[in-house]
Amino acid sequence: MTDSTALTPWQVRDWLIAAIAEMLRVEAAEVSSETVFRELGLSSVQLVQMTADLEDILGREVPPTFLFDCPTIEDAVVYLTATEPSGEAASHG
Amino acid sequence: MTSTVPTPTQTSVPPLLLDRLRDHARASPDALACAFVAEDSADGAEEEQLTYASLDREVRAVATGLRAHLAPGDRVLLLLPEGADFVRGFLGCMRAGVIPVPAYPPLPVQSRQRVETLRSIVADCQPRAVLSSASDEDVEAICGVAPDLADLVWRRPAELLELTPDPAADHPATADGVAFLQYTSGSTSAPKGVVVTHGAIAHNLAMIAAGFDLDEPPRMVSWLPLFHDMGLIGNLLYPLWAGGSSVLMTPMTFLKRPARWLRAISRHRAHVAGGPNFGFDLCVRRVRDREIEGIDLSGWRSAFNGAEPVRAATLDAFAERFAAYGFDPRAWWPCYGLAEATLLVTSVDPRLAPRRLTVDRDAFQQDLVIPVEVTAEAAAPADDITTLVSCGTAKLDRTVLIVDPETGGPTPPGRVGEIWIGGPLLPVGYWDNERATEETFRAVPTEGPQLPYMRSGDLGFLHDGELYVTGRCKDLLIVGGRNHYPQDIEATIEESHEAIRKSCVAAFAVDDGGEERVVVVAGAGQGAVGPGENAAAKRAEIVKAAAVAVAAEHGIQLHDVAMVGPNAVPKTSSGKLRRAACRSSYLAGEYAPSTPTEQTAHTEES
Repeated sequence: MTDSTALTPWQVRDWLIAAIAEMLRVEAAEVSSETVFRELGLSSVQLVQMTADLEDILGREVPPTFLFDCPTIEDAVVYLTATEPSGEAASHG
Repeated sequence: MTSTVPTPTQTSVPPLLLDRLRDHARASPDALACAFVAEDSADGAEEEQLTYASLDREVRAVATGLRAHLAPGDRVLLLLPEGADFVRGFLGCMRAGVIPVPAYPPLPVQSRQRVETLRSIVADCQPRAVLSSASDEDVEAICGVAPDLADLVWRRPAELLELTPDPAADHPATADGVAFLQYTSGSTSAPKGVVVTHGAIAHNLAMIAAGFDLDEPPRMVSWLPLFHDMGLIGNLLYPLWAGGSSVLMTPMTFLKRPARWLRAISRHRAHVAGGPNFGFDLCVRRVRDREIEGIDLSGWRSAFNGAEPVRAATLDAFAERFAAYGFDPRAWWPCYGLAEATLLVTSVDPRLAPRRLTVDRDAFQQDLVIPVEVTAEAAAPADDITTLVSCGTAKLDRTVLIVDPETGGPTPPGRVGEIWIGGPLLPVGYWDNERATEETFRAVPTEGPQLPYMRSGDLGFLHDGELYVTGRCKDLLIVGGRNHYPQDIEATIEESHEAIRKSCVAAFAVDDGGEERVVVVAGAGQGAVGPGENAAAKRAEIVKAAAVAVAAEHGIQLHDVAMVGPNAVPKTSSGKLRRAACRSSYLAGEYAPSTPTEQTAHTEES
């Protein structure tokens, strides 16, 4: 696991969009943060692997159910950064 | 007639699984039988273990609980994840003489396809009870979408463990008694339940043991689903029959972090571990060095690879990636099997690297096997050749025939034909389906041995006595008198445009007034799906790229390319493409708007 350096919502959003764009093989600009995960057409394998990658960059566990609680990328950003220990005060990149 | 073993010989039935389990419980009560890797365990550590003595006691307790409601021969649906409850539940049913029917728990119930599959299994085998470890809430949800299940007896295996085992619940197993029903994936039609007898299991387990040829009881680590034959027979029943141990994790545990499987293999010093080809690809792609620091894979004797085409490129990439951790390429154990043969049919020699055969691609597309000599200095152009990996030979008294599927007659050497499987102690048929049983399990070749064979529906050929599996009969595309394997066309299309999703392309034939035409349904990412001019323009671009690539690579003009969201391409629960279902949906007009390639792509006849 990497150091538990808090990421800003901005960074998490960029990361999610880049990861999803890569899985869908589209340009990042084509992925809106209002996109609903379920409508992206990602397989359950892709989603669980994205969860594993998120754990790596956040340096902590992400429950496998979190995507059920977060319909959109924006919801996921809020969820992932709100429960981040030192959260939004951290400096952005 | 080409045949691996020309004359089947009489064999006695190997010891039955239930008898072996009781023997192991007496002889080595404290030996590890099963261990279960904790969900989301960081280092592949095990959370729960069963010795042979505790397994024996629990299995008899479950049998006692079941016999309170059920008579021998009743069916029991198993809706259990890969874990201790599955093992207790499955073996408890067998011990009680009731027939377990493993099925995929349809959770979450939103998955329409899983629910439909479950409902057709229930309608087919008419179970009287369900073993499940789901919460009350989930049970209610399942019964909500599959009302036929609501009236059945629901039991949790864990609750039955409290019972004192009653010897009267122990139903003596016989070789021809039904042990369980294995529902096939339903890649081509509605699910069919293969009737597997105790004798068929014992025979297949003895074949597997002969194939691995280990000098000590096997230690195995598995991530495969247990409601499929490869996970259930190969990864659970085989080590238990042989007095070894099985370490199980759920497929999701592996898929999230494939390193957990490798770590568990190292930790458990496993001799045997494997799965379908894509699992090895996933390890190459996803495992990071820091996740597997210090692991030792040098004890891995047999890395079995089966259930989907074995790719030479995968074997090479995996062996190279994990060589530094002690992986020995001679461990590769490509194999061929199917539920209709209990599990294993053929496998390679456990001590040698599997043979490869490079053949002329054009000839191969016409079912002709013309080996091509490939040397490092003068390699043939990659476009002209295809490299195949051997799946080895049948063991014991199992036989393999290659038969012309149209005539039922022999296929000359060097020609692809349908794989027919013979010899004693095969499954006896499909549950309550005499017609399909007759067609599949009682085929007699028009020449040669007048014995019943099981028609696999798979295609292959024998070369130097070894079986090479090349595809499935029903999916074969015949265009202009030439055979094309849909997998090949799909692979070309996957590579033709970056927006096309891997493993979400289906190619199949439609009859266009007497002529077969090739239609492709391709799943694409966002930006190419839905209304709007941009999406339509993107679709046209993808369709053109796909049509050009297929024309150039295979010399086929695509009749139609339907662009859909990736989830619209139907697959089985194990992720296998369901081409026939995709074709039906296409013919029913479910993939509109379609874009005839004639309007968008103009490629020259080749």
